[in-house]
Amino acid sequence: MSANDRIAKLLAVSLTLATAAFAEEPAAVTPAPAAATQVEANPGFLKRWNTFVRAEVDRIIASEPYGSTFQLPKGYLKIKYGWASLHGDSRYDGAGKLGPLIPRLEFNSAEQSELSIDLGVSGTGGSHTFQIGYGIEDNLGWFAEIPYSYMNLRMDPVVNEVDAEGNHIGPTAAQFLGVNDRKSYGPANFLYETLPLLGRPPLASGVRGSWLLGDVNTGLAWNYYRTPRMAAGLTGRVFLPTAHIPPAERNIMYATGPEVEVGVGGWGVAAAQGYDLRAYRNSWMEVVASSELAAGYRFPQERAYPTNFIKPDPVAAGLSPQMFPDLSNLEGTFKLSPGWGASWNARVDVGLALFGISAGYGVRFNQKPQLEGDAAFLGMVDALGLLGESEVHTVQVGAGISLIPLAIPARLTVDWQRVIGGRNVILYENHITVGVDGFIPTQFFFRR
Amino acid sequence: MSLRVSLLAAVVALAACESIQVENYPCPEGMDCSGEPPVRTGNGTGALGGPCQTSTDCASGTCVTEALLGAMGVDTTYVDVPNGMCSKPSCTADADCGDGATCMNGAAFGNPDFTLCLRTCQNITHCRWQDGYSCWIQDPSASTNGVCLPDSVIAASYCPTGCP
Repeated sequence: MSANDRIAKLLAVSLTLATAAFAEEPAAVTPAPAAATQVEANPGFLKRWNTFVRAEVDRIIASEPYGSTFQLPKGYLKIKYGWASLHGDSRYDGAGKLGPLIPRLEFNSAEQSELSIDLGVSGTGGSHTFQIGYGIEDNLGWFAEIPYSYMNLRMDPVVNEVDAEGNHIGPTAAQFLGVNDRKSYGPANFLYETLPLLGRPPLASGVRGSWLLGDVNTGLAWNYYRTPRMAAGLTGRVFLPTAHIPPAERNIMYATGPEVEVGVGGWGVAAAQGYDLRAYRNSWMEVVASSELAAGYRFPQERAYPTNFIKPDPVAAGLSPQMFPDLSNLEGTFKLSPGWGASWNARVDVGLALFGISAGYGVRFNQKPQLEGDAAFLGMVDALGLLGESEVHTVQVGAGISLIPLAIPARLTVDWQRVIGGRNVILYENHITVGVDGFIPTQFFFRR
Repeated sequence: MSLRVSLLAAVVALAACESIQVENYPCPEGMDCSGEPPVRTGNGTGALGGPCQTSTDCASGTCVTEALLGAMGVDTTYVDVPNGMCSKPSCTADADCGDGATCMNGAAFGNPDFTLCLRTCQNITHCRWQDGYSCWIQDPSASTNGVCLPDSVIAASYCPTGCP
């Protein structure tokens, strides 16, 4: 949750209470001689702090602080750390139907199912996100976001029975793949015998990653309109090509392994238009509805081909020539154009003194990434059906509390988010984010 | 300035913490998964049925090549032996060939007058399929094991004048 509508209020109250805490500290605790000397030797600090806080409280409250378009006051620095955790083992396909992360591999003859494999990909992961923001002017702020991801992904393939007799491979596929014992055919046979015959190396069964850098982004946010009732703002953002991209040899996008991408990995730009409506306000409570419409473009990038494919056995590859073309000669790079995306988010925030709760809904669309390169490789990627136009709908609830009673100008937030529908997206579950924001009035601490 | 430098240093330091560990499914018995692609153990250089350039490469003492087959009276017009094949000629029984090998006459090569030790197989994955070898089962209805042969030899046994 980013309850910027209460930032200024919290800042003001935090500074006030922090002043009180500072003022009370020497009386509450019997000071050690050194501490007492320090307090007495620096009486000007508390006086200056009190004066500063009173002026800031008046100034910030006069600027009507509410909504997501509100910017950090001039000279304020915000540092935020967010930790997120999530789990995923299913995915909405192109038709919006929920299924496994990688679609079941199925080969059928006219008579029966010949081979049916669930790759059983699942995993947990999350992120550590660091944000920094600075108020250039009262209505213009700069921000930067540095996301890191971690993941623990597993692949546990299951070979399903293809008939009532308990065979795991049909007679035709058994002939293509040279399998004699159709009942005992299992995951190890598939991974280490069948996949190489089809020209693919065995898949990794698990990937553990930590501190994988995502798409670092930075930008400016301008709150160009603000009244006590309504506010509007524009945000511009640039994405840097920093994300760790899994090697094509174990990338879930090409079904060569379980590793998921933690970012787009290329340059990008985005712009967002936000609106806030303060629907209700009294001395201890306010209700703010916010809406943000955003659009972005991610520029084309070069990606390396997987180079560990094997020359398939021509008879075995006849099982599905489109899904298993000979890609043993791939080298160099292909062009990936992620293209356009758009999103809309709506949220209602209810502020109750130092507490805040929120509920929101979001929808995001992304065009189908365009690939340019080896025709057989592109055909394989298409046949896998893992790249497509995507759409995701999410709901989110959150809560926040200020740490002001501890004399810390900061607040804690917790969010729970759930994907409720979509196409070509992973269903993340148990998606929880915990964050802590700290605010520093730099003009007080760093002025001479 | 010092704040910016500190932030940059923090980003670099955290990026240096990046780590990726990849785990693999347990390798099945009878396979060597250390290379790509995984191979059946016993298909390595020098083993019977393994690749060779000269006979000194083979523990069995003979490297079968097109030239050797020609000398043994085989019409090699449509036959090739990719990367050679370690074997042992003039066997009289399977026992002469050792474990995992079968003594066969040269019928598959179009000349039944010689015999060779060939690697025994149940399916293509037991053979050097990446080199163009398959498992040839002389009588599929008899549920017997087969032997690993070059694809061209198997094709020639069905189409002696070259398959269309």
